Parts: sequence; structure tokens; C-alpha cells
Amino acid sequence: MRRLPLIALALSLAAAANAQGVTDTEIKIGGSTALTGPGALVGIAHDLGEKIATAEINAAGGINGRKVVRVFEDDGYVPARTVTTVRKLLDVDKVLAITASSGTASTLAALPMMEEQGVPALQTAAPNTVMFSPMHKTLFVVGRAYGPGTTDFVKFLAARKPGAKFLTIVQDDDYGDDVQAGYEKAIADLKLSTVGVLRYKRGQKDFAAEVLKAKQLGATIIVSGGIIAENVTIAKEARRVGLEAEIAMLWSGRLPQTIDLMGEAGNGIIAADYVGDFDEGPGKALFEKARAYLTPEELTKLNRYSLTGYVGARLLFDAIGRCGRDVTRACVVAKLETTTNLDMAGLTSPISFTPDSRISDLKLRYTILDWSKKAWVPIN
Amino acid sequence: MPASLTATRHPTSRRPIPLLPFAILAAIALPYAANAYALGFATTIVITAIGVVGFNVLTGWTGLVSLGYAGFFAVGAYTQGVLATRYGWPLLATLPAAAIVAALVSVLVGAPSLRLRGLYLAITTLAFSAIISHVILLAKPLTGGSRGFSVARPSVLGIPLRSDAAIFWLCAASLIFAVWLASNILRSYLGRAFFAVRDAETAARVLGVDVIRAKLLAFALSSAITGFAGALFALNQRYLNVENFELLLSIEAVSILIVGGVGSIPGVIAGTVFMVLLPECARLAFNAIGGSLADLAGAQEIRGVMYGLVIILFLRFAPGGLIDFWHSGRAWLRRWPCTG
Repeated sequence: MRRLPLIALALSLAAAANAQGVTDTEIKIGGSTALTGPGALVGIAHDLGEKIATAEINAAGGINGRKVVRVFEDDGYVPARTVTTVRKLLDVDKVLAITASSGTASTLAALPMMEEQGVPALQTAAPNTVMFSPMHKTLFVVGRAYGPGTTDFVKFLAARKPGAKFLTIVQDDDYGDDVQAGYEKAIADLKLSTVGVLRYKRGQKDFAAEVLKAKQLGATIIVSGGIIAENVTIAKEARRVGLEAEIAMLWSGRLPQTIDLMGEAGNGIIAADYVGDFDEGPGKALFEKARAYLTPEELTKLNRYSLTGYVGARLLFDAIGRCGRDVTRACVVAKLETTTNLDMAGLTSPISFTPDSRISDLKLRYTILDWSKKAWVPIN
Repeated sequence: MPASLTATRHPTSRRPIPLLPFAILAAIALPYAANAYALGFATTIVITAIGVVGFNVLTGWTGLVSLGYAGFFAVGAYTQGVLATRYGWPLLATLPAAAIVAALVSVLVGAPSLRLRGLYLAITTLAFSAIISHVILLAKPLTGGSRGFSVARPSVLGIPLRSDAAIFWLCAASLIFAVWLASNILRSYLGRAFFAVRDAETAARVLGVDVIRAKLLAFALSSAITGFAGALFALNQRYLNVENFELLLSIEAVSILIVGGVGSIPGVIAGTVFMVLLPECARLAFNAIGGSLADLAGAQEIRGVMYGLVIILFLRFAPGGLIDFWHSGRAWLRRWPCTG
């Protein structure tokens, strides 16, 4: 009986060593993204990617014997709502880490709260430069930033088609700024020929004027800096007016759903991405595995954002796992920032961070849309 | 435009409810009793209530139907954010500045709108909100453009306003002040002039009411209070982005007026509590029921659907709003047990 207080003390100290969201049997993580509304194409896919990763690790016995429990909230891609949902995740659900917080503005809106509490947070959907420059201690960005990504992409396009006349159409927001900066850097680095940078208002639906201008300027490669609907409209409009230029777009437009939306006008579009596809290589293997964890309806909603969600979750699980039994937020942040060449089984290039860098800078791969196969085919 | 927006009884015909001491006690105690999430909701309710108390002056009392609420709210929020963060102004200066700037901007909008009523005024004020959004996007050095910017939480008399509890108390005190101010305006000559303009503009003019002055003052007072609420929103959110000030915000304000009871200050408070808590209550209910409804529990689209449904139901079955239920209940209790 005399030992009882000592045992109680030891147990309470052991409990205190663990952070919020961690018990002896489970680890709770949370995310907030658009599960309804226009952004749901991205949000649902991301949620499903995390769902696969969570089911997979739980099937393998969890992280050091603890099961992973996920709480996911819908913020409709509205920053003010993200603040509310993240607050709920932290204060009511008491999660250990945040795996998603919608887009750039939403993440920046929730960031002060997450930083104050030292919450390890991931951003895998919107690798915007403002997320990691200046660096935020607890926020880790997985992907290739829009700016440097565009630079790489334009250089790749230039090597593929020497003497091309470039033009870019970008959105007048932070995303567009990032894309434009990357575009201009590539042009300057390689002294390429550019015939213009056209900016459009966010929410614009009609791109007839921009496409006609591109035709008039004699552009032979258009770097389309839209998101989803904008890329589709630009591609369709270009074909409608008989513009022969090659159209190139970043990963945000590279979804199975956009292939249907673009129709035959999408044939030959070139895209850059830092994740693969579900219909080839490692992505295909993951898709087969996902059949055990997702419903047939959910399987139809998978896209590249499922892969980024999956990769992000695996990165977090790896960091938590390296903390052993004493999982704390500080430990997870420390393990994340010392992640070195974490292998993602070919879904992305290996992931690394350093204490001074919060962007994983993944390697880009390039694909071309083959309309006859309705698939993005890798370009060697 | 629904009749209830333009034809309600004069709220001074009811005696005020002596709830102030209870409200103050509840406001003081809440941060100690509630977790951060609940406190966040309470702060949202209080800020929304302040904004709609202001909106009520223009639309509820003066009958000028506006969809510019989001614009005036944004002006207040960005004034607070820019002055506090970029120029380091103290809170005691930024809050009044937010109200004053919103009032001045409203006069600019109000002056050309004096001859407009109903739908035409609604469209003009809607256009104003769109202009404000574009100005925010263009004024990048100040507002951060589409990226937005983080808002510093300042100090008051040397005490830093860092905790959520401190922000809640500030907002609660502001609500009490806004209600006190609005109640006094309501009982003044100006308040009666607003109602006269709303109910019969020509008759008001014949009786000596300066209609132009009354309308401009309604615009300025309404926007000052709404701008003040916007400033509190900036303090609470700590990050400003143009996406926070979309049309839905104006529609939410109109919904609260309809649900609470157009023209009534207690109605505004009741309507705000109802409309802000409705999605959260629905979420809890869906989760409790389970099944496929649980999947809908977190869906933000449900929020929009519920707003629409509630507005339709109130307009059809209870155009007087929640405040009418309260009055009917009190009247019934007064007659009880001699009720028929």
C-alpha cells in the first residue's frame, strides 16, 4: 500500500509527459478544409488521402501501439471559418497536430493560434511562398513552392521547345504573384522570349480577351496561372479561337475532373506536379490498397490532393513515431524539422526539412494530357 | 421587399427589459466557465450583435434597405488593422478611428443615395461593398492585397490584450455601450425622425423633419457602429483577408434583423444568438442522430441552407421575429390563468 502514492505519481508524470491529444491508447490529429462548396474537389480528396494513411497505420498497429484518430472539419475555404474550426480542433477536440487548414489565407488566419500553442501543422495543398518565408516554427509545407515550381517548369518547357514565345496569364492575388515571380525569374535566367504577362481578376469566368490577346501577340507557349476552372476555360477558349500555342499549367489544374471539363480541348496540355497519379506506378499501388479502406463512391473522388494528403499524414506519423512513447508537440516539431530523405515509396521525391527551412521542395515531374486515354502521361 | 422590413411598431412602445445586471455578471463570469471554443463563439455573437445593432439603425429604424453591411464592417476592420499594425496606434485611438472612418465613408455613399429607396438603394450599397473589396485588393502596401495581413493585438493603458478573455470582455463592454447608445438615440428626437422617415417620408417632411439630414445621420450612425464592430472583429481574428467580407455577411445581417424582429434592439440580440448558434446546434443534433446525417454535421453548405430556410419560415409564420414571441409570451403570462 505504501507504494501506491509512488505508482500514482509515476503514472501522473508519465501522463504529463504526453501532449494534448495523446493518451496511452490513441493519438488525435485534426484538419480543416473545404468539404462542401467549390473547394470541395480539393478538400474531400485531401480528407480521403489522410483517411487511407490513417487506416493503413492503424491496421499496422498504430504509432508505437497508439491508434490514430482523426477529426476533420469543413471550413468551406473561408478564412474566418478556418479560425473557428481550428479553434474547435484545438480546444474542444484537443488534437495534437493540424494536418490541413485549407488555402493560403485560411492557414495564415489560423496560424497565430497554432503558433501560440506550438501546434505542429502541415500545409500540403497550397505551397505558397508566404507560408515558409518568413519561416514559421511549427508550420511545415510539403510540395514545391509555386514560384520556384514555375521557374523549373518554364525552364523545362524552354528546353523542350527552343525559341518559343512565352506568355503567362495569372490571377491578381498572392498565388498569381508567386507564379509571375517564378515565370519572370525563368525568363531572366535563360533570357527567354516573353510576349506578355496578363493578369486577371480573381473569380473571372470569361477569358476570351486574354486568349485573343495571346493570339495577337504570337505566343507559342501559354503558362496558365489559373487554379481549376480558370485553366479549363483558358484551354477551351484557346482551342475555340484556333490558338495553336502549347498550354502549360501547374498542378492545381491536374485533376481527373478537369479532363472531363476540358474535353478534347485539353489534349496536349502539359502539366507540372510533385506527386504522381493514381493510374500509374506507386499511385496505382496505393489505389489498390485504398480499396480496402474507402467506399466505391469515395474512390471516385480521389485525385492528386489525396496523394498530397496521404504524404503529409505519413510525414506526420513518421515524426510522431520517432518521438517514441513521450509524444509532445515540441518533440513532433523537432522531429519534423530533422526529417531527412523520408521515403514516400515513389509517390513524391524524398521529403526533407531542416531547422532553418520549412519547405520540402519536392522534385517536379511533367505530364502531358492524352485525351484518347483520358490520362496524364509522363514526359520523359 | 418584405413588409416586415418597412412596417414595424415603434420599439419604444415596449418597456425595456431590466437584464443589464445579469448580462454584466454573465459577461464577467463566462471566460472563467467556458472553454476557448465556446468563448470564441460568444465573442462572435457579441461582435455580430454590435454590427447588427448598427445595421438596425439604417434598415430597421429608417427603412433604408442596405446590402452594404459587409463594406462598412470591412472599412472598420481594415482601419483598426492598418492603424494598429502599420502605424502602432493605441487601441483607445484605433477603435474610435474605425467608427469615424466608417461613418465618413458612409456619408460619401449616403449622399448620392438620398433619392434612392428599396431595391435601388440595396443595389447601390451592394455596389459599394464590391468597390470596398477592390480597394482592399488594390491598396496592397496597406492591406496586403489578396494575401491579407496579421493584426497586432494592442495594449490598453499598458495592459496587453493578448488573451481571448480580454478580447471578449472588451467586446462585451462595447456591446453594452452600443445598446445604450442606440437605446438613447431611439428615445431622442433623432430616433423619432428616423421612424417618421421610414413610415411616411412626405408626412415627416411636412412636420418639419429634415429628411436629408435624418437619412445621412442614419447612414453615419449605422456605419460608425458597424465599423466599430469590424474593428473588434479584426482584433478577435488577428488576420484580415478580403474573403472575410463577402456578400454572405450582409445577407447574414439582414437575416438576423428578420429573425430577431426588425427595428428591435433586444430582437437584434436574440436574432444574433439564434443565427450564430443555429449551425452549431444543428451540427450537434446531426451528430447525435448519427447515420448519414452525421456526415452533414460539419458541412458549411448546411449553414446557407438553414439561413434561407429560417428566413422563409420567419417571414411566412412569424414576421415580427423572435421578439414577438417574447412579447406574446409575456402578455400570456400576465393574463394567466385567465387566458382563453
